[in-house]
Amino acid sequence: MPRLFELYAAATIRIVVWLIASTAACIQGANAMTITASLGNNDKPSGPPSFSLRQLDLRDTDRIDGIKLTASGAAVTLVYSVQEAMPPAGTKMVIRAAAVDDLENSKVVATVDQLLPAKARWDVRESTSRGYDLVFERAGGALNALMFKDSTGAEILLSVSHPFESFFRPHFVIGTHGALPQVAATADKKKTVLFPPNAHSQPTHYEVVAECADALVGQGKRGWVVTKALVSGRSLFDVLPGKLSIIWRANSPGGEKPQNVPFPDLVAFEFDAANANDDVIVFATAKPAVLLRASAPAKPIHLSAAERSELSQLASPTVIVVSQYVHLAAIANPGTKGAKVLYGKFPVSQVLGK
Amino acid sequence: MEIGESVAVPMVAPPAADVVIHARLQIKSISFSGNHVVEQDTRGDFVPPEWVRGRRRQWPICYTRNSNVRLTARFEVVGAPSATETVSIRGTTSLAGSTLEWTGSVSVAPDAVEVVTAEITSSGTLPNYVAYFQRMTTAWEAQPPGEAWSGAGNSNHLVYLTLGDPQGTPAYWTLLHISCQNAHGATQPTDLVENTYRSFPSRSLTRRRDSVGLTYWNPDTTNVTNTQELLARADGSGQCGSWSEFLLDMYKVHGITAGKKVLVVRNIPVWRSSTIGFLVKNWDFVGAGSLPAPFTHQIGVECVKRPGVPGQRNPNPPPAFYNHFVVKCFNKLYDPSYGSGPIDTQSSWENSSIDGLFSGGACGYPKSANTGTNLLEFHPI
Repeated sequence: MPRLFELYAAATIRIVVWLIASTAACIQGANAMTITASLGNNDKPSGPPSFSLRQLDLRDTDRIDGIKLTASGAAVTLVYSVQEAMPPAGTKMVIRAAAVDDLENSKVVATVDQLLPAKARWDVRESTSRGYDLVFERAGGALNALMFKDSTGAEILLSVSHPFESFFRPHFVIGTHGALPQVAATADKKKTVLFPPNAHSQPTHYEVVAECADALVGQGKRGWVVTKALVSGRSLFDVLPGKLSIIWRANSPGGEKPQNVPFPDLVAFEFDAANANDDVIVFATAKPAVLLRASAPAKPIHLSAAERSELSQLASPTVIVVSQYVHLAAIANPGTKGAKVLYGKFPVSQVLGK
Repeated sequence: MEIGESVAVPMVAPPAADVVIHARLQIKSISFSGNHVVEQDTRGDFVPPEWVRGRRRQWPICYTRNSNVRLTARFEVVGAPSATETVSIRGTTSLAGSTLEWTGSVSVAPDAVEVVTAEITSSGTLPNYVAYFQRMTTAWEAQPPGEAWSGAGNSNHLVYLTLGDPQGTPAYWTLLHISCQNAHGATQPTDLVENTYRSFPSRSLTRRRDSVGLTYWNPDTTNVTNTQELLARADGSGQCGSWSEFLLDMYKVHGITAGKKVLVVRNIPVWRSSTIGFLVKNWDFVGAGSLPAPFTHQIGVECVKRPGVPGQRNPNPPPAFYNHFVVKCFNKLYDPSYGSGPIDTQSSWENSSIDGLFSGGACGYPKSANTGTNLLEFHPI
């Protein structure tokens, strides 16, 4: 008889345990449904703001090998490049532009004949004559020349005084405007250099602004340089990994000392930057891609997308600030049938957290 | 037997108080010091321990020739001693007639699981030449007090010996492997430079970390211009700048900095303006040409491209350039992108490498009519 009671008690305990476990599962499921319901509203939980990217409806995205966002007034334009073969020797880089909200109507804004099919980096800015100025790498085989092409199509060699060096990542100094473009680039992938504003009209020598493999030069209230110091590790789309920092430059000789502020704990690949009020925003491809703020370097902003995995497969990031909105774009899985351009637009106040 | 009947149970006598059980050791891992850390072709350093028993891959080690070798050895205690004792250990290896021996001791307690030696230095030095030893086997032994030496396992190591200390480059694995294997036995810088190049004409070099073939402009969208990028890029494709630095870095990993990159151009002004470049073999100039001198032949019609001279893992590299890099070291020219060389003169290089010049859509200065004339300039950088 005592044995029968023991069996009954054990069975009862097992039933009670099962009931407790089932109740806990129901509660957990209810919580999950609540989170899902709130995320169903454009991925916006009731908590922190979301930074969601959407796909732009562009054709032939598998052929696009570079993109750049620009602005004319409040209108944001996507500028992008594709390559076309020019037998028997040479290629043509075709630069097209389309308003972000009217991508069907793209137009060719520049073409660049290249002897070699090497992927050439470039940058554009709206010129004073309602066209585009372009800076680009001209591959020679061993060395790249640094070229400027204005909206009339006239080409000027900016690196004329440096014939034994090779130039990469040319860009217009971020935040500068006006008739005289100021151009920066990386020389021999070892130092970032700045050409003076008159470089397009007469031979000039550059100024070294940073010793690093890759950097972007900008000007807000203070000059700044976002740099990348290489680290070991796997590349992303053949771009070496590195750690980013921002160097605040002195506004004048003998002015404030340059300050080097690292963005910690992040391995990044490509990056672009923009002035945002007194801050600098950096859009960096990483695993996954993030937005960084110079004012809060240790607090990256994480992005979201319909296909989350694509956030770790981005290339050619571009970011601008227009009319108190941050616009950013990048190519997911470039050069593949599944390539797409992802785009996001967020209030500056939301990005800066103010 | 009946229930309740007592039975005499034989008792096992406990060990006598004076029976001593000695430690038995087995080599578990080895960490080297004073070596040149080998870099995993841009994926990071091979960090110690360089050898671990049972690990599927062991790390390569690199020393300058004629060096002593310092290491610490970790042993697993596979048989615990009955009391703490000092056990002598030694490791012995023989490399091409050079014998290296490491001796030391460890204190082994009854509850010890592992013991580690202090840093110990080899009795002898490594061979005094550049070397690649695929397998250096070291036999380890242990000797408890009052006992004979007994085996404690073997360790095996892949060893690279450099001519001198690396300068100006990380000791990338591929640089070491190609240069040390090709120049095995070299004792002079000139020998090293000449022999390092031995496998370049095969145009079949591979990256050590993943056996990916390294190529010249294949695919042709590459913008790789230095050694680090060549070793990092997934498809191993690079431009001539990367191949030239790759070869120079093979010298630098042995401490040789005498080599230079040489820029090849028609001349500086026309390279700067991208107006005149050169045609890489093979192009045919057909007839006299219909255009005014000096660029008399219309490209594609009167100056026709044929299959080119092969480059590294590329049967048909780009047919024309404004500029190119080759390497000069100890008065010899090397063109690592194509695996040609050593070449004695600029003239020899031109006659074997180019077929003429081009300007825009026209070609001129056929090399066949200019074998005794240098059409280009060489600028060491």
